[in-house]
Amino acid sequence: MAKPRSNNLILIILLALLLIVAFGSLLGGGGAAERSTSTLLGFLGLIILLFLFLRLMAQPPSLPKTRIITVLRCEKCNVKNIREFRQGDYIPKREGKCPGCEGPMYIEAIYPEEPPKKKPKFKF
Amino acid sequence: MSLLQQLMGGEGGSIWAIILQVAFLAFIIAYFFYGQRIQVAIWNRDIERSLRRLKLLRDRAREKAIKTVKELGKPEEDPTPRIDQFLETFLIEPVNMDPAGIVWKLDHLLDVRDLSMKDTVRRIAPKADETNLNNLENLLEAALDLNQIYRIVRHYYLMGKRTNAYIITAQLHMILPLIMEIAYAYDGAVEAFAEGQPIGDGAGPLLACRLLSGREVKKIEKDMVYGEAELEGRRILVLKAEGPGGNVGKPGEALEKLIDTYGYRPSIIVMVDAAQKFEGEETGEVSDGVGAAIGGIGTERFRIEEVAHKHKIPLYAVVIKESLKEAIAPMKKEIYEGVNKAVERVKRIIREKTKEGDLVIIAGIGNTIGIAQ
Repeated sequence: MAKPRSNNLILIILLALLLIVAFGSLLGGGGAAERSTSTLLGFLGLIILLFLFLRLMAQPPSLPKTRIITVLRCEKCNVKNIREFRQGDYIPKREGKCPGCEGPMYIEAIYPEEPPKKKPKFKF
Repeated sequence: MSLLQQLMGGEGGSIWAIILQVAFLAFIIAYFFYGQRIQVAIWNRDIERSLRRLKLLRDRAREKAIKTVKELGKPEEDPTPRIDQFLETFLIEPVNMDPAGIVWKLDHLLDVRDLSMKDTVRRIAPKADETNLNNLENLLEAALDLNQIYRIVRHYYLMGKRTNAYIITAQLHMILPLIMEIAYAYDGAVEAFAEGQPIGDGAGPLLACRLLSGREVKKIEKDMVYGEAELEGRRILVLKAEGPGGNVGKPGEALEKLIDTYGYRPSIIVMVDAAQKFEGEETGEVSDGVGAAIGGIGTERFRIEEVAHKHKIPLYAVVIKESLKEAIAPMKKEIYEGVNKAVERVKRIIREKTKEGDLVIIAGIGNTIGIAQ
């Protein structure tokens, strides 16, 4: 997820460089210096074009794989136990005994474990 | 003056500067005359990239289906040719020039399709039990849908390219992000169906499962079960599709049977289903209203509305909000929390709309994969 941000930073730096050179050429004298500045401007322009083209052609990031977890709960003492999902798990399958009170446990939920979400900048 | 001097920007002017100026001029002229074509080429390139990804998703779903059928069904012959045929099956909807009676025709065709699919799955996976058969059917349907999406996108892409119809390419490019979102959702569903994990659409059956916890259940209609419980001093009949195999059942027919055949006369019917949220809404939010909360092609909703109207039974709906993508992907934690809120909402409706001793029917609508009763 950090890649688009670093790409934007590169683009901003290149544009800033382009503006500095362009501004310098406006203030600078003519002759050989002006020609060198024009060449530099052209190169910077080309680099930006190439960069934008590569960004346009870039593959979208692949989706991350999530881990599926099974939540077991004790019918007696309500204690919760979490483990990796196994084929054959379903809600409310009775499975095993509670490590605390020896009471029967059942599968309460099966869901993908996801990283905590960032809060949106603007709440509508 | 030497070439090196010219390159370095000597007196005669930099050759690089000239090359660059010519290149920019050429670019501006080319863009002026071929701008639209360049734009269409960029769109086509984007579509091609998405199409490659769709093909990858389609092939992955097909491979997963073949692998799972071999693992669970243990067929004697190679199921690949039969699965490939299955992925190309279709349904021709009834003619709607004269719409009277179309619901029953469509219902009949859907029944035939369902029976035919189940029969095919039974043939290609003879050793699979009933739960796995239902999961395999769901898995194959997801693979079929991915195949359909891929074929349709490829059709419009090639048609736009062959006929130079920019408008087709433009439209396809514009809706492609939505199509890709649906395709990724089906990709997530493939994994869930193969493993038998609950999906977002199972919010309704999960609520029914919570209410039926520890109670005796009876089979009522094709792939539907019901059980009796007590809630807030009222007698309640809880209806859901039979799990834990992937099933939506026929809640309309089951309700008809409970009311018309078995003679139950509920004071109200409360339907609980997962419903599509609007962008900006939180997953797992709960809302309630009036009407038959059931998605699908419409035949089951029609039956429910008919029976409720015939016996003048008030119909209430409680929905757990989620996106289309979340509905077919493995069930999120927020949806579990939404189900807990929905139980409270159902209790409130029952308290407010009925009195103690009344009979209430609660129907948990949705795909019950990974959720028993």
